[in-house]
Amino acid sequence: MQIDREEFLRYLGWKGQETDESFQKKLDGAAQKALDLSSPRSVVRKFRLTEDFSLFGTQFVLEGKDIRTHLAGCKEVFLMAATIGAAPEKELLRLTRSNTFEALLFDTACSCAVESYCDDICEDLQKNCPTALTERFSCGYGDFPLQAQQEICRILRTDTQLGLCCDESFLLTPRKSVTALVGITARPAPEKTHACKQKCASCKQKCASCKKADCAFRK
Amino acid sequence: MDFKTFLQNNIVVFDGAFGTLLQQKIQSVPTIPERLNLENPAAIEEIHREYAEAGADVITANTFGANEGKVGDRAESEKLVRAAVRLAKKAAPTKFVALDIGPTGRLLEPMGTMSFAEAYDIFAHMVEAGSDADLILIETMSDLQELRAALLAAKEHSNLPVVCSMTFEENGRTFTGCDPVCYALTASPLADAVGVNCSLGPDKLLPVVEIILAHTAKPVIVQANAGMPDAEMRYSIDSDRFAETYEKFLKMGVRIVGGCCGTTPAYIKKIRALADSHTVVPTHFRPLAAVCSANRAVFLDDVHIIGERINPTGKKAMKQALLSEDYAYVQKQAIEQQEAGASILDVNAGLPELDEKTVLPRLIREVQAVSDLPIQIDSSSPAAIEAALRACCGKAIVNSVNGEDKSLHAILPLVKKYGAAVVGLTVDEHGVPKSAKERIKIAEKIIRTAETYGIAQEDIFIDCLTLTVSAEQAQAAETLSAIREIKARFHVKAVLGVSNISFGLPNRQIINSAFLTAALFAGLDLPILNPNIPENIQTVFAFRALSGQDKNCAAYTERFAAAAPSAPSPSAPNPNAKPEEDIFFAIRKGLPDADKICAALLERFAPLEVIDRFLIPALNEVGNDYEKGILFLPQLIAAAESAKGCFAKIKKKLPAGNAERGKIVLATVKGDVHDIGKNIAKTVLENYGYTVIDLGKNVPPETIAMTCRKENIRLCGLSALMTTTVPAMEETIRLLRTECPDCRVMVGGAVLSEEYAKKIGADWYCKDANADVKIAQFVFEQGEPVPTLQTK
Repeated sequence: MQIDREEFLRYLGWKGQETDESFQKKLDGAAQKALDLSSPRSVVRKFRLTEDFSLFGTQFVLEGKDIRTHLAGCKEVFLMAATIGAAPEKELLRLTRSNTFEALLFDTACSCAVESYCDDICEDLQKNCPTALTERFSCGYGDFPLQAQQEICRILRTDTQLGLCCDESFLLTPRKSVTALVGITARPAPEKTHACKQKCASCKQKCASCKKADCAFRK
Repeated sequence: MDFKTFLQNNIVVFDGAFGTLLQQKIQSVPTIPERLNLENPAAIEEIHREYAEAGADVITANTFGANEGKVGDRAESEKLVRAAVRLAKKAAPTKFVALDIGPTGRLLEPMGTMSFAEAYDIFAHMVEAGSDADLILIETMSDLQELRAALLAAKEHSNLPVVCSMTFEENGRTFTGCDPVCYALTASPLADAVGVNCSLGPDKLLPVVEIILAHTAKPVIVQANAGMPDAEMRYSIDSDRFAETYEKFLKMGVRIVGGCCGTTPAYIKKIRALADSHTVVPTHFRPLAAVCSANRAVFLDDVHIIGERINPTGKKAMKQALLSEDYAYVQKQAIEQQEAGASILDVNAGLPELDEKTVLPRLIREVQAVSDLPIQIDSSSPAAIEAALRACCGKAIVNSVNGEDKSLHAILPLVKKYGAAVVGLTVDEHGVPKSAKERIKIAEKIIRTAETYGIAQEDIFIDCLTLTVSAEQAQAAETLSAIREIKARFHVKAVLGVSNISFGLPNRQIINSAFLTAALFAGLDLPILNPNIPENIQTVFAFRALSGQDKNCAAYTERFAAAAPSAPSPSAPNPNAKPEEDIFFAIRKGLPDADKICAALLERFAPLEVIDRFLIPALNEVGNDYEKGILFLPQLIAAAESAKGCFAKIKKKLPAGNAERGKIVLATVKGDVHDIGKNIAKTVLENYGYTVIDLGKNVPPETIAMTCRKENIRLCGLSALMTTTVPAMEETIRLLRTECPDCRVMVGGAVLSEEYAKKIGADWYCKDANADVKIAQFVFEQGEPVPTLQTK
């Protein structure tokens, strides 16, 4: 898990503005604190994907065109949940009351941290998989409903395994957490993995496959 | 024989994993496995029978996730629970049957959206539905507050014995950061047995179990996993290795043993054999004076400061904050006191205008959201104290009882029930005694009465009272001698509010420091004071060094070695330049010392002039550059933060309300806990001189509408992050339209667009924090018109 400087700035809405040394120090400080307070944890389970897009052995059906397009041709999927834990969340509550600037940097650094952690998980999965994996696809992407988040949390028992809950609005708490599906394709595994930080073509696709064209964070 | 009696004389064996066996028996397990209680009762009974045959004394009914929170429906939950208990009793008629209660699956406030009351309600219902069981097992908890809700529900809705266990990680804490000491201190008074389950393999739980054993007088339970599973759900520890560690547990004094994930009847058979070949071993527990929150225990074998700032008495700003429900102010006070060196926070809501029994618990929740210090509940009303004790996570101090029978018999039962510590004031119906001897007599009465309620001396803190030295000079010596005597005669701690001593005298801090030093040497353990006054902290640190509590003066050295003023940062403005120019640079760069430049300006210009000529133009410049993309968001916020320091300086020079440009309510709507966007808007608006009433996150529509109506609000800002919470925003706007037709509404949040905002009936959509300012200027100060969405 790491916090990539460019990614951090991009999440903060950076478009090439000039920053001075003291600002950069603050970025580093927030990034370091996010890493220090994180206790990353995850669960991953492999499922057979049935023809009607449900996970075999469960009663969970994947709703929506977009997830089905994303997983087209996959016979199996990984269902994953990951979190960087409660300590960053607590620090965020505290910073919110003491300093909005620090809260903003820390909040963003934590978002980078959990994404990077998910990249690490996927990289590991890819290493142990002879065929290519798809990008992560999460609830709320395209027309894959947020509501599915609850089902995912229950199947993976994230409350007792990770301390990760899904609330009545289908949002994850602690907030700096991710649930996702990763498809196992029949294509040969790529030579380079996705965690190479924007250097290979498949990483750029992360944004390209998203339909939110007006997104401020689009690469 | 009932379970409690059985537990007194025996090592008790619980059963093992349920889910693990279920997966072996059934191909497709429903998301709520408890549905099988109705759909496939034979399979459930079979598992119970296997564990009974393996030798378990207690069979756990299949109700772990059958609560309303997970099942989604109350009646359904009840059906599943009743069926489960029935099945367990039928399958194992000679065994004890435990109602199994797991977490609700939702996170409690402040990290999540579920309130303590909601959680309590869910558990209470489950407890009632499971009333046919022989005992209640609350397990796999990771949030101490959720566990408290379950324990209180169990205690208040049944007479069954209650066993509880939490799940710990390799770092020795639960997922939410609760440590075993805090857990043992908080849960023991509410349970008949405490311990651990799930988590890791048994060997990794040894250190956690050791800590729990040392901090509870109650029997301890261990139900470990059979190690960690691999991707194919195979567990790493076999039954022989499992039993090896369990033998160690029994030798340490563990009294209840069983298995969790990955264990099978084979494992239970082995620990049955162990239990039969071992006798009950006493533990090393001895009572200690300690208080705690969920994450931090404070052992009172050393001097600790109780911060006194969260108390409206004689504090204008705090009083105003409490009356206007400005909990952000209170939270700031909590953070400041903790940073200054307080170990415990006193919390008081005693204002005649306030309903103490609603405000005090709210205050405690808000303080605990931002600080992990233990709480001292400061009230004399039993109703308010009980409400506060329910809300407070951890082992609190109740401040206070006095020597009057009425006070003792109303408050001590509460102290006992919730397992708190208590401050005993040495006054009674005859007032403050003038001699040390009389005060000791009252202290003794308090201690003896507390003992009849089962409250140990370690949990009693005696306050020998500080009187004003300018009025009653001889009393200072009486107080000190009372402290010395009480510490010599009893195992109690001494607590004392110090600053009253100097009332009416000039340069009060001189007297305060001297008296504090004397009291500490007399044996004072817990001074109640303002930690933001450096001399107070200095005195305490010096005492700890002189008395030897601070070994090798390490804490003193660490704190004061680097106390020299730091060199100015290289990006600081040129000291020769004029403050009129520097202020623009300092705010633009977000420098923390902008307030010093502001102070220089205040020497030359009137406060309002400083705002209008310097601060607002400087902020406007930053705002414009942000809009043009010359600066980006963190730079805008850094500028706002440094301007905030300037406004704080200016406000001190202005009569109250003079700089007020308009009052705005901000809230993140019901169901949403993402509030960074709202907080950014707040920071920026405050820096333009607007008063922001920040209602926080997850705020119900009714609260927002009520506040807007009560405060006569003309502009309200709502924030929501996700599609699933926008309906709550729409509902809030609808309610605002009927309740406060004159209030305009601006909305913002990741998922919103101008179109969407229009659809849900908002007046304005704010694409960023700067947009809020333009709208506020238009609404309050005839600024440039901003067309509303509904007219567009």
